[in-house]
Amino acid sequence: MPTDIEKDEISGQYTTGHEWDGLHELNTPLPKWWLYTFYLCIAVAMAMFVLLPSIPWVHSYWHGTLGYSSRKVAMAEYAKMESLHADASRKIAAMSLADIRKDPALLETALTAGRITFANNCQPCHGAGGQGRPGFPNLADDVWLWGGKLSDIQTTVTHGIRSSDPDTRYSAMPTFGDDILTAQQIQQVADFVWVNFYGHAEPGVDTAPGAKIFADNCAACHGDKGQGGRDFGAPPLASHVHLYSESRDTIVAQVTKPRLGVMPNWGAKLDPATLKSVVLYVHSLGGGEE
Amino acid sequence: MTNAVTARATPAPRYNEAVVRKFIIATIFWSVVAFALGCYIAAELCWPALNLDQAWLNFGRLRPVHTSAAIFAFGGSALMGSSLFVVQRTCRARLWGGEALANFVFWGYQFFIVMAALSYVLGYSQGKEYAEPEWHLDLWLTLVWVCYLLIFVGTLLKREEPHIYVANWFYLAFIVTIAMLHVVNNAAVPASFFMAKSYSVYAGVQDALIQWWYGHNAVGFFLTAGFLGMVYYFIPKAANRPVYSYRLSIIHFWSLIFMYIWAGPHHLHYTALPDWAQTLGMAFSIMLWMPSWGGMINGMMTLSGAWDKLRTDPGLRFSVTAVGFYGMATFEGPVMSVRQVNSLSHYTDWGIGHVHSGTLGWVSFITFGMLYYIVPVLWKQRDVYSKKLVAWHFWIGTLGIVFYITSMWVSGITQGLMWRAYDKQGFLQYSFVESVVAVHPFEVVRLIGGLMFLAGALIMVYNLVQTMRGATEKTSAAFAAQAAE
Amino acid sequence: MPETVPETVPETLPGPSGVAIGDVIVGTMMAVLGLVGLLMASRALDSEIYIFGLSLALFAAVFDFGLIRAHFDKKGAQS
Repeated sequence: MPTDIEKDEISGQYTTGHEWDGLHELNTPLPKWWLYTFYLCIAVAMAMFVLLPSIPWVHSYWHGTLGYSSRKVAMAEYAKMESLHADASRKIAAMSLADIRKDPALLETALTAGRITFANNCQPCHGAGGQGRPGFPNLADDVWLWGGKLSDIQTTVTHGIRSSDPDTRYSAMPTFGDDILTAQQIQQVADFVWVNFYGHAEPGVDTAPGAKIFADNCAACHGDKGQGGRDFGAPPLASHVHLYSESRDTIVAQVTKPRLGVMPNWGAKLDPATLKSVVLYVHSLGGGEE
Repeated sequence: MTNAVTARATPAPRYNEAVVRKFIIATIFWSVVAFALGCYIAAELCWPALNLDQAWLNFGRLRPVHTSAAIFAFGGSALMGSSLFVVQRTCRARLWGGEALANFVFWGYQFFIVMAALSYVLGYSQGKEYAEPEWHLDLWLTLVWVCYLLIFVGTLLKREEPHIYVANWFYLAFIVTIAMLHVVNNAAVPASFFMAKSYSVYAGVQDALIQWWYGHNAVGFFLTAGFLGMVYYFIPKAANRPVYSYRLSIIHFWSLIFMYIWAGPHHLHYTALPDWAQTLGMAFSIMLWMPSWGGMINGMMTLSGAWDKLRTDPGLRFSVTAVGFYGMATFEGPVMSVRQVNSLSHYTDWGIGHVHSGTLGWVSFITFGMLYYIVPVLWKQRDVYSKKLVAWHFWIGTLGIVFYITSMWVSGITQGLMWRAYDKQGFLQYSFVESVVAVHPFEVVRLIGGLMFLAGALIMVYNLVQTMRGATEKTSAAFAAQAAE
Repeated sequence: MPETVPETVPETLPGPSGVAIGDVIVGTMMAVLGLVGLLMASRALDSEIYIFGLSLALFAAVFDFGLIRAHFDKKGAQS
């Protein structure tokens, strides 16, 4: 029982009369502003319970007098944003890519939609503005694996590369290191590509054996002049634009055991208008062909 | 009134201070680890190449090491050490259960921390925020925690004081509630007794709700109730003043305990969680504002009549500033829990800033205040080695927090606004990557704030180690003289 | 500073063999858990359980060794 109640000279309050390890407590009443603000907060909470969905029943819940639903709010906002370009989207979905390009207003809408779609979906691999990264082609230059016409790009984006789509693009570079060519032959063909197509002078290197191996094994897809073959997705070798890097070691590695890149089939994810917008956007980056 | 200990017929028993000293050393050690890791992952967010292409240095693995080191290693050791110190002195009773049990709780807890950190960097995780350890570590922690509860309750039961001091209410609420949260949220079926893989017994949105019931109350009972226990002992002790209001203690204790446990769903606004549950979380968060502030009022007003002590006791400055940050964070929290505010703030750096105004400003500062008081007491020194260094720690730490919080506010609001921006045709105006680029400068400022906070902690480590070694410093007297002017 | 009892007073009642009851209970518990750790490590299906099991066994052994050492240190100080 408290027996030691004392008056604190500084605050004028009395203690509770308890003591623990030299500690005491004052019996100060609750601060008025604190108590009334607490009551106010409780009142606000009660108002929320009445106005908004709040109390669960057994099979349903109190829906609130305002009829609020966060899903309804989100869907309404989504619908509002959709409505701002609904007409344009309908036209884009119906018209051919070539016709869209002839309509400047429509093209502007498509490129706006294409830019943001590209930035949120394609940019992680292809880089901002489609400048590419090692292993991911640059989309802003003239060098294409599968072609730079609007229809080529549309096919690539819709079906992807090595994707789960049955119409996917598929380039099958053989694993030449797997008993097709010997290690020495691979070195020879690498010498040939390095000197003749990449254009690096290597005095004393005989490229004749490599030329023969290339003609027998590679020219069918990559072309006898190394110009590439877009029907097979075979990269042009006679250029300074490379998917990985311009080094002799990379040629050896790629011939021995090729890295086969993949790209998703966006046709399964993007609606037709959005997909066409992305195609137009990629085409506009600088490498688009007529 | 007298501030001296009331004369007693029997002398106080010999307290078990050895285990408290161990926890205090662990607290000091883990503070540096937690802050340094925080700085490293903050730097990774600025310059991702810093993960050096090593899986175990990846942000995703190091982030739980940072949060666990900060909350459970640093905060947990501080809470366990200070609670075992306070409960003995305010009960006039030696720890129940003997030395072996207390040592088991200490070493068992440290073992948990080290094994948990190791499992994260090896890539093992339940994927539940703040509850990442797999089932075997959860079971081990349960065992340690039950022993801790036994010691604490056993000591309360054999107390010589007629009443239980308010600090112990908060410590007990912390221990009991964390036990409940831990067991319920980690309920899982292991794939095998010999495999660190388990499946939660909850699925889908129920799992999310249980997780955030746990997650929010880890904040409420670990980082709030427990550290309020610290407030109620160390502030009146250092200020040498009675606690401001016993009545406020009772009302704010029970309202805090009752309301905190409902607030978790505000972490799941605009998700698959039904709207009615979201509203409950939001409404209880608003009601929670004043109960939280009750602790701030009791901490602050206890200093009335002793404000001059802030000039001569820089350790007390930490405690008082901590209570101020506590007040700020517990106002910001209810605001952010309102659905419409949350639609802007959720998933942004604002949340990170909010958490750190709590963990740096409140949890760390109240712990630093406790350390500067308790280390001289436990190592039987007259005072800390250098008050000047305490003052340096205080200012560099406070400035670091200001850098941290303000940069995260700006960054968070920038992100929130960019993510919701539409152009006149109804298309998203910015891509996610553009928002990442936009906040890069603020991420760097945050890192600078973190480095300052770490520097302050290193000053503290030096100061406390010198105190433990019994070193004295000439400038200490000069500082006191200067402060007295 | 309140007066405290001198450090030499034994803190827990010794059991029949002069060993503190708490030491026996905690020591036995740790011994059993150490064996559980060894069992887990011996049949571990992943590296985490292997490391955890071995660490637990090591932890238990060191902890029990510490208990025994503290017991004899205290006995030595009393005599």
